Amino acid sequence: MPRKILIMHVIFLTLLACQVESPHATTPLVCPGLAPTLPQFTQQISPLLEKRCGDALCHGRPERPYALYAAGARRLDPATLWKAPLTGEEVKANYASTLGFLDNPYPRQTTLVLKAVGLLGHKGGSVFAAPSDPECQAVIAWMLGQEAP
Amino acid sequence: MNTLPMRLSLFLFAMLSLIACQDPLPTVTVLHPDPNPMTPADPKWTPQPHRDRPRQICTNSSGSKAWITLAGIEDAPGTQVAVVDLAGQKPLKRLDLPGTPWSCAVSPDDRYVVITLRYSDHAIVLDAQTDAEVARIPVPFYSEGVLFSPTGSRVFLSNRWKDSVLWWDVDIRNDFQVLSTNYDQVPAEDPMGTPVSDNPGPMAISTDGTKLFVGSVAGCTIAVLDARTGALIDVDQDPKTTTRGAPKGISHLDFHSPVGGLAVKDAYLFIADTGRGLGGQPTTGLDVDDNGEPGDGTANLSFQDQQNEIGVVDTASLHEVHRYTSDSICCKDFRDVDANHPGKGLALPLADQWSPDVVNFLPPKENWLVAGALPEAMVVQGQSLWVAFAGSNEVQGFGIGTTGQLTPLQTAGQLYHTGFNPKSIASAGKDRVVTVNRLGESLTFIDVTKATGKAESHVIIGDNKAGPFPQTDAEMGEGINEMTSVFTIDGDQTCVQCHRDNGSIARPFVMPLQNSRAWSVRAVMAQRGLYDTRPWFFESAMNEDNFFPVLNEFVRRENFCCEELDMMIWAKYPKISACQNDPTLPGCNHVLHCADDPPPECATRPYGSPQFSTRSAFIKDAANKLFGRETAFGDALYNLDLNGKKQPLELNFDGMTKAVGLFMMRTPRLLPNPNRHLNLPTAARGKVLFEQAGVGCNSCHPLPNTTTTPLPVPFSPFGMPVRFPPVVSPELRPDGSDAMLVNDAFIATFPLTEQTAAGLFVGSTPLRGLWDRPQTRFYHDGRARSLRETLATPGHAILKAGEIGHNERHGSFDTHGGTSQLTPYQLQDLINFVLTL
Repeated sequence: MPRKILIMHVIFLTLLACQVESPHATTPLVCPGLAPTLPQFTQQISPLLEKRCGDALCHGRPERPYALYAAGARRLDPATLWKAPLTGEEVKANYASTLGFLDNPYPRQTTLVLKAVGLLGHKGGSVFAAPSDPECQAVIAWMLGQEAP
Repeated sequence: MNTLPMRLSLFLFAMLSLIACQDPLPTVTVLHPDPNPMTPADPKWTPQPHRDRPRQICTNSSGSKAWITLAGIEDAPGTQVAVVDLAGQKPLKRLDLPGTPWSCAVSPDDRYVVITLRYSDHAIVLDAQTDAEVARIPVPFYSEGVLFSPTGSRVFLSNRWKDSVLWWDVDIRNDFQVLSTNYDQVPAEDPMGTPVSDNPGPMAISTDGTKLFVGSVAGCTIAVLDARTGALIDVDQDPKTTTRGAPKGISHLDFHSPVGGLAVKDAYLFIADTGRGLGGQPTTGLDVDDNGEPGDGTANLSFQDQQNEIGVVDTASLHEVHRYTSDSICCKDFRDVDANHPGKGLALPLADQWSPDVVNFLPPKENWLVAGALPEAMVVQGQSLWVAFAGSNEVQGFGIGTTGQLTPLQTAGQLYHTGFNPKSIASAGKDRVVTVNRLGESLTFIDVTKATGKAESHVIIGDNKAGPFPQTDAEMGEGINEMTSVFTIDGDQTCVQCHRDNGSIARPFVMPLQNSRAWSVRAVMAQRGLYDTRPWFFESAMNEDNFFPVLNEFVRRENFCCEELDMMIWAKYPKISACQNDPTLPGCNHVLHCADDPPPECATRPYGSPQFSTRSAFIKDAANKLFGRETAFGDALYNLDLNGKKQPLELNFDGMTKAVGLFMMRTPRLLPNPNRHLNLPTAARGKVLFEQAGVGCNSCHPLPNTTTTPLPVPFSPFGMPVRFPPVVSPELRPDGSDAMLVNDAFIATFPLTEQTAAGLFVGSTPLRGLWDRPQTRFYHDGRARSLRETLATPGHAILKAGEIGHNERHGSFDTHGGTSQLTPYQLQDLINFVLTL
């Protein structure tokens, strides 16, 4: 009996948690309540993340759990010109990676934001001084599928 | 063994435990206004009486008991509520509150009273029987209006800071329990609630409880919400249209007029406002009302275009079905558009002319029903609508018909008289209403079965210890500012029609002495922070002793026959100089001795003052009517006679101007800034940008005054002049000429004015209090619809779709500060800092 209960708990928690499938899956899952889109990510968020997070010493490294492609840093195809804008595929990969850290229905409580504002351990320190920073607000708005304030 | 001491000890222990276990009420944070820069060092400073300034009233359902918020003034806010026995017409007690009370609402079951505290982060709940405080509910600062749903299960709050509607879902069957809010867990700095227009105030709910109407004073619109879901209703159901400032695709009820009051009866919503006129021609010139057509669609011009109106909207269709206007829309002022004399307009001086077809824009005469000035509050009682007029100290009743049509129960001369400045009105039992008179520190009870003069009784509930208002020259100036109507030729207008609650509204207006009244307008400036930002107005040419064009508009000398300025009469007579040379010329008897021998036309002209032949006589009489005196008090406004004795100024035009100017300076009236209180990093970064030489804000808007000024002490830390050529493209006429200029009369009246071939020189508009101003009208003509548009160069990445960057002059960018080099995030940091000023 306790084993069955344990299995049921695992199933229940799995359903509760916000899962993201691997970057190579066709339809990543997103936490209920969040509505990020690729077009807004492409236009607004990817450039921001590249600039603030994508340095080769930070998340521009493939071994990071949160790994990004960025112009002037990590590229998908080594033959790509170093500082050329990201390709569509690279942006999509960044999108999928980022979705993996949208793990809470409240944007301010996602790992992405908590680490970026220094509320969770983050070797890079505070990327944003506070969630009220315009850049962080833009990321939050993207998570909610809203226009940046 | 004696068990009594043991039992007593146990009992005491139990009681102490109970007390210890009760949750104490949460601590309330209160914002505080900045100090007054006008100090006793200024010769015009004099001590002012303390006043309670009663503001809003809420009553139980029988009208037997009321709570009245004693709001104080912006710089000395109150902290008490007066509890009043309405049946006995007497104050019962005062309650001390942890903050600054603004408004209140009683639950439908009469068990609870919710009181909003303007400068505080909590609202409080009282037990309506005992008046004990039973709960404090966290709210954002500036939650002002409050309204229960008809079932009592929801409490709506209008919030001035967030420009939104918040609500609590409550269970009040036992204790007052807030089950949830629509702003749970939203950080204080974020938008919250359902966005409505700027500075929402009055609210009303439809009879069936499905629609919530939220009037905006500064935004001049009425948002309509689904009261069940909180979602905005798109009034025109057209996603392609958006009311200025509303979320994309949403249209509000938009009558282009600050909303003074709302009331609902059956299927109808009644709206008190000041009409849609913006001072321009009806069909030519700028599209001042944004309806896609030139002009503003109303007949009268300039300040004569201000009216006092009541609109009636069908709450099902959301269409306006009736609109009633001032009973004196015509013809007391010599310029008024007159359907009986359509040719008169062309005989007027050029600046005031109107063409005969303009008469078609007058409302039907059967709708000229509203007899008071500045309708600010309304209440429905039975089949009657009672309207309080804050500008003329009156109440007028209207019978409500089956289609929402109104029939006046009183007309001019029959209106009930209240104490000074009635700001709210409520039912006080059968056949009785009561007004709260803010400047009068009183309540006025009106028995509506009786005629005026016999119906009214007044009770003091505020602070009249220093004597009844006014007691000083500054108080007199405040009284003139609020109750200007008695000083106006048609009894219709007040300064605060536009400068509502001493703030500004999103309603640019055609101002007198503009060179082009068709192709230029001026935004309304707030009456705040004026002592250390003189000279005033965009032209930075007016000070506290002289803002002639504004007051002049209310009571032009042409309306007084013996001022000999009415060209429709005096053009037929010789000039004064000719009569002085030869008094025997025909008509010189009238020219030289008008007071005793006026021309016969004076008696028969259909406009102007029939009683007074000169303006100064009219004004002195008005001062007598309003204040019971013809001179200032002399504490600050006086001349010295030959013996060195102070002689109070006469209350003529000059005295009236100086009294208002003194009031303007006396206290800042700047509302404490909630954004500054948050102390956010984005604002700190924005301040760095503000002060950066490359951005340049601080040069012309130097902190802390945010403007350069010579008074009271010269302040221009970077050596910038007080006035300089426009930094943005001036408005142009169709022929390409500069429409922003002022005319020669303006320059003659205000010698400080600078106007050259480069254009009209303007001052740097003070930025303090900008957070509280309408967020859709910036620059001198209100062209910029957001701070983004104000600061961004054309095409800047921060601009949203459809927005225009106005930081340019004739195609050169960065003429209003260097912002093109800023990223959108930096520019947002700058905006966030400016919103903390």
